[in-house]
Amino acid sequence: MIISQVLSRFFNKWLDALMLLIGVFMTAFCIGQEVNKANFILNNQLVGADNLNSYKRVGLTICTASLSNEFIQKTRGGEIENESIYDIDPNLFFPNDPYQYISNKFDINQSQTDHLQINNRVLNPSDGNRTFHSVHIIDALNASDVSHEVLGNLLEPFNGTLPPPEVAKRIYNDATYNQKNRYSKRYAGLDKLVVDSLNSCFNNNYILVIGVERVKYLPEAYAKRRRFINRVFNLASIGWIRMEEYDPQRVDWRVGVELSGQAFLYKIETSDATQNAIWEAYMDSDRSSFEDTDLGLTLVQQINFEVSASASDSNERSKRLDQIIQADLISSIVRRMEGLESNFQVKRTVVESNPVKLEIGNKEGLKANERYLVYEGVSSGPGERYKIVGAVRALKPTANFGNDQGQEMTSKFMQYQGRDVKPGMVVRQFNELGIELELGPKMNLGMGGALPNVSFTYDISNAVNLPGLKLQGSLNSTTSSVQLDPFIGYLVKPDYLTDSDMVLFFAPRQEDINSTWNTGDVNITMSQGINFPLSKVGLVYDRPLSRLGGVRAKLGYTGYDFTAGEEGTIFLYDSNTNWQRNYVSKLRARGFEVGAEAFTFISPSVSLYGGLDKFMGRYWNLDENGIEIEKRPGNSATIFGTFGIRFGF
Amino acid sequence: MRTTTSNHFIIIAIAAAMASSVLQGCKVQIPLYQYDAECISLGSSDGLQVISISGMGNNEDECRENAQKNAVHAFIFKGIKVSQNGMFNPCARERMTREPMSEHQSFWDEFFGPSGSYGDYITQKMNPPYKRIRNAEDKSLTLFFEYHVDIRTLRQDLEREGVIPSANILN
Repeated sequence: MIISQVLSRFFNKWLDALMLLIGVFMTAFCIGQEVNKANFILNNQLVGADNLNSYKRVGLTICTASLSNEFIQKTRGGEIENESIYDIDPNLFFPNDPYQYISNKFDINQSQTDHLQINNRVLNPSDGNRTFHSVHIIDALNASDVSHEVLGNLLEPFNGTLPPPEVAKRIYNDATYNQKNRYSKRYAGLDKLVVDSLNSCFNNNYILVIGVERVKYLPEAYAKRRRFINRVFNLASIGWIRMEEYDPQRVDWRVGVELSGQAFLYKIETSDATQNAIWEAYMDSDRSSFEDTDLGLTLVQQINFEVSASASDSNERSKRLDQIIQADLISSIVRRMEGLESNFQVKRTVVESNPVKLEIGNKEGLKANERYLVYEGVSSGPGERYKIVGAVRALKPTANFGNDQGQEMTSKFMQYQGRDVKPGMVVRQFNELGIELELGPKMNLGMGGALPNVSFTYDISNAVNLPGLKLQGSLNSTTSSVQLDPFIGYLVKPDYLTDSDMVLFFAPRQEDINSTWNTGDVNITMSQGINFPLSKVGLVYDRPLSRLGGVRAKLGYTGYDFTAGEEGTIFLYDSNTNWQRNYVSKLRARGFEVGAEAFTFISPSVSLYGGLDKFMGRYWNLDENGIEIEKRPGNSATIFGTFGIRFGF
Repeated sequence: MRTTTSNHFIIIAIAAAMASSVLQGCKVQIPLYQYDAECISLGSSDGLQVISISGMGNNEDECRENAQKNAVHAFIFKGIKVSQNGMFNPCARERMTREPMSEHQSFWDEFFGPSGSYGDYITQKMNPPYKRIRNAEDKSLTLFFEYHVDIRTLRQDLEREGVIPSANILN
């Protein structure tokens, strides 16, 4: 109740300012565009050509490290106890095959997954000294000679034939069909291709070190989620098991775990001397020069991470907890690194427009609904630069692993932003967080009136592998402004209720406002203005139809909460304007809602929603004898139109 | 009343003429035979050579047309000096003639004209461009194509017309 009151007051005070701000945004920045990072940060910036024309597959090696002695926290009898890092096998979270969770676009070195022993040194994360960590990790990597092992794998088998299998694999995976078709014929530069690919293989290798600082078991990791579930869904309390009972080998629905730490991405630096040594190793089958070559490691990216998993998630019940956390950990870290490291981002030339088709598919790790920015080359003075001209989303990724079958393997994309995409333009992968925030008024087209609307959408399509599926929550509130009241409601104050209770009239007569009225035993004073939040949470399924907009199906849980009163505001319902035949009902209704919406991508975004609610209401009948409680199911049909600005991240 | 209507027509006609001239003014005069030509590979049959060629224009069709002219022009008057790979260049590096275009101006005007036969020597003419550059100043467009040029037939035909010397003389 406190939260809803605060929200209500916020909207009362700041609504006008908010609407003004939205108006300024709409007119100044984003007519015809979704507001997102691409627009605000990258638009009108010119990008160097090297960043867009140099996509090559990269090799990725994953190592894990322990960065703290506070590795495990577990609970015994409600007390949290710390135990040493060595009490638990860190490889519990990387048991067998973490690579299935990584995008296909990486050439994964599967031979090096050892847990790094950082010379048994305890690194205290509270120091917050990342350089300190990184230095010790580089020491550990050098001590294990990971760099030579990674590059050495590319030389195997060591028989002097070109190209060696690993290099051949990368050539195959790197080339588009057109390139391979060309090379397979009378391609004069085949040797050059092999040389380029070989150098590319040795120059594009990264080591990702996932440094775990803290592992939390029950109840810390799970408590937040449990509270959230209880609050939103009013579920019964979920029980816990003792840590000693946790057996990672069996399924247990009640366990939660949280990992936090830092991930470090290093690039293996090669020099001319290295490449000469590699060629020498190939040609002379002599690896000694290569083994003696210094291989530098450069820290290119560093992030903090925190992932949690609970085996109570219904869609993950078939997996063990360690597999869940592993999937979350690996996939989320690699995906974040994709956003940071340019060499991890797929780039391709548009080969066809209307519809947009690109030679990108499963081989490049393409997922449905994934966003790519479109660039057009710009020549201004010396050199070429590239400018963003639009954005496209993948519709259905093609399985292009077998693209040597003489077919042009392209995936269809749908443009949803910017001007026409033309062949010859370049696209670049641009991961998004999948978060949308929409602000603006929401008009009740059935009953009249408008509510300020805040809606939050989170893309969960990757998690459930269903493109277009999103989780959406929205909050609406009335304000004290009569013009914005959805039901043109008015507050009344019966003299027998406490100060915190209020009564709401539905469509009373205008002349009754601010009048005191006696109904026998009860005096009611009418005043003007109501506050109530209308909250919704549910699943939406987006289906874009064109770059202008699309349709959306909604299935959600709806709650109508009036803000005043301990048990909810007393509600005086009026079917006619004769209030004497009214009855009072409690303003709390919970139910399910199903509906469909048409929406636009452009900003200001416009949408039209129609839906059906089926809810259970609790009514309080008010008469001279007092209040009588009654539960009644109900149905309602709603038609809402929204008009607002959409922020995408 | 009739006078007013006719005045309106005159005003509209003048406005249309002005708009037309303004639109015409937006078009950039494209310089002829300014291009980048690079060898990609030999083609799938003898006489075919695959090159990367650029074409400037105000729109895609104009760029494509100019790129095809440029592809043939490059083999005749310049030779393909550069390889896209930066190393081995299997394409014809020597030009077919050392004479300037002015020596046979009328022939070349017709050859590269609107109904000229330059396009007969290019296969896969509708290949999409693999690169697209817009000039920031005059908004003109440069597209890069990959064309297969039948230089054997081209040489034979031009030799027959007597506008290039025999290959034996050049070599």
